[in-house]
Amino acid sequence: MNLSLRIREIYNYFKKKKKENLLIGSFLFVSGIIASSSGVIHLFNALLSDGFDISTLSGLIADITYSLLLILPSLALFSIGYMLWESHSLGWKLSIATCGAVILLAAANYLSVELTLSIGVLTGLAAMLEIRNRKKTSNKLKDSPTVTENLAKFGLRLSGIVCVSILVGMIAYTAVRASPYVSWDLFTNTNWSWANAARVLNGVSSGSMGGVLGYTIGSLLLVGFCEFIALPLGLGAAIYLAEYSSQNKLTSIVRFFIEALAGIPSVVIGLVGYAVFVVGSTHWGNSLVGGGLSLAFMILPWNIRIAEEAMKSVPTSYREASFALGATQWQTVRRVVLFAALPGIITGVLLGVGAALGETIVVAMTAGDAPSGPQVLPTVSQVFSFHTNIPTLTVFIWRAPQLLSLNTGASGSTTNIVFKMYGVALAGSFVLIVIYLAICAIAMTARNYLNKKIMGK
Amino acid sequence: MNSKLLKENFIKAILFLCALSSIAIVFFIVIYMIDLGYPVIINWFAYGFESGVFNILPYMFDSLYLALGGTLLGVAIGIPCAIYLAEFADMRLRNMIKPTLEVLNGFPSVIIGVLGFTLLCTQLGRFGLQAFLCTLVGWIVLGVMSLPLIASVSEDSIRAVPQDLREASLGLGATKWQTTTEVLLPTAISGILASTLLAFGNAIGETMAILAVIGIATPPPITLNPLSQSNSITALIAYGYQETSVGSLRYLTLFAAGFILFVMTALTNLAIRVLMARRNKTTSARTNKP
Repeated sequence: MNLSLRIREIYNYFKKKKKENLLIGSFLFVSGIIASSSGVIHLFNALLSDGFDISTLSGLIADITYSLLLILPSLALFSIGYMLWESHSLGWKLSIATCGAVILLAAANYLSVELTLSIGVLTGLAAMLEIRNRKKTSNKLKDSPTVTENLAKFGLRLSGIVCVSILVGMIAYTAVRASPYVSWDLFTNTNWSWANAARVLNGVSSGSMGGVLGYTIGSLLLVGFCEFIALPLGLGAAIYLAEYSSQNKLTSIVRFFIEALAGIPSVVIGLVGYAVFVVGSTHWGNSLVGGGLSLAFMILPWNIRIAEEAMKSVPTSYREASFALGATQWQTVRRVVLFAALPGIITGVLLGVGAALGETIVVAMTAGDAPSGPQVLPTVSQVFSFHTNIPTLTVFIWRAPQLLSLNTGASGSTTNIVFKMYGVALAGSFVLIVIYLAICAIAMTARNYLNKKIMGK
Repeated sequence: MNSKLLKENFIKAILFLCALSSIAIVFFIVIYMIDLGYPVIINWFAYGFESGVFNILPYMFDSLYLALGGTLLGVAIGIPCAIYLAEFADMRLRNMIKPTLEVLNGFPSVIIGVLGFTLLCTQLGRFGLQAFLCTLVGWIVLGVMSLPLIASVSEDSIRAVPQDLREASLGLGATKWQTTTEVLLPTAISGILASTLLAFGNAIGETMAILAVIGIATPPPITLNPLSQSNSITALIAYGYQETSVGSLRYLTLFAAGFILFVMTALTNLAIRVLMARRNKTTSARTNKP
């Protein structure tokens, strides 16, 4: 077949299509290809050269992870772009077109002339393939939806896989980067000194950096105190809303304020906590109580929502049976509803604990910023004395690069030492991730186990 | 009998107090912010944001711009994921994705921020880009953070579409994909929008994840260029609270800024409420039809 015929064929094909579909679809199509191919080329670059001054395995894996992060979404974009050629709804197009623009911008940063050429060739190839595909199916059956259907399904599945790969990628990358600094000592030693860590990083002194157990214990203490307040309060409110309240104005106002509390940004809660507990009239300074209370404000709406949902999913027949036996409402709630809702409540509260462990800014503002001096475990009397800085893991992660650079004396000038400093921050992150994943795993197994045990599901 | 009733009422009163506690907390926080920030807020009302004591307009713009981009990125991956989970997923993949979303939802934001810096910012710097701390990376980081929320809430609202609508569409000979785009998505659209708004509100208030990656330009330029440094109200507060002495004008400004932040998130919450009320009306109207 000669060229002019082929061009005519393409032209006819495009003529049949709706104009807007065509425009946005082809835009996504092209941007998807550009982004993914530049990702591939980046991958090759990473594999072939040792460009960065870290030619270790971790640097390489960082590159590969980065390339994959670029390639996977753009492949999804590519297939969605194709999907759009067939579909008709506008909201879809708008949202996805924006995503396309973002990825295109990202890709445009490192495009060269030869790249643009190869992208052109690739685009042409893809268009031809697509047309051939289309012709095949249209010969078989008029308006056959199978191609769209399958591609749509593929695109949807891809987006699900992207979710999983983001999480796995983040955890894997953290583990790889943290690996030089992770040891048994890191988990179990309570002494940490930034000066010592900086000396070890510089290679001045050898040996252990110390451990973050003190920070871990501080985090757990804080979250424990926070749940000590937020759990009874949240359960009480949830019981009232799920079992006692009627659908009236007052209840809807209460609900509105719970949502409003959930919507207050953590930094605002932290600021008010700082003003009230740390520098305010209480004159506590950084303390366990102030930090725990502020954190409890944050976690309270979560607890209420979780417990209420769990109680609402208990079948009404359970309650009716209990009432029929002559039980009062409180007896019913305590013995029947709470018991049946237990799996949901335990799981939800544990997930909330996990989220509270990862909270940073509230904790930094109220329980205390990381001190630049050495950190040892505060004693029990110190912890409850209202005036002691409570060290936490998240603040450790946040401040690690900054405090290390103060101590190493190397600012942004030497890339290698910056890389190492972030490695230490990621070692702290690794400890936090291990704890967080453990809590999540416990929460989910508890849900499965108790569901089987109680509900007989 | 009477003492039993007394006990019941006593317990009910205590539970009611628990429910009221969140109202008290919200009032406490808001009144505290207004109490400290009112000189600055009044100043803003009198002279406008730009010519008042502190120009907060660029910070507001950057906060909204960051949140908008991040949410759209979350929507682009989250909603297809929700559709897949609700309608198409086989058990194996569903059992993998659902827990992932749950874990991702509470993932420590500070780690995402640190990863965003070492993984994305330094890589951008590698390509010779001058400003490697930029809005673009902020978008990506916020997209990752809003993804699980959008996906799980949207999935719930797609699942909540009555089964008979699905069956009617399939019975008319529509394929599964046609049913999804023509019936399910239009019906569930208000729930999906609500999830997006929820993520948007969270993104406005997000602090830790973006603190490390956007750069702290003071004052931030009002520009649409995603490769420029930016700032946000949350970053303003998070970096400002230590550097200001208690009671100074700058200190009061922080509270006024916090109040602005609260108003912005409260407005998104209000929009969600309106949307959900509308959804409940439409679904109940649909199901009540004979």
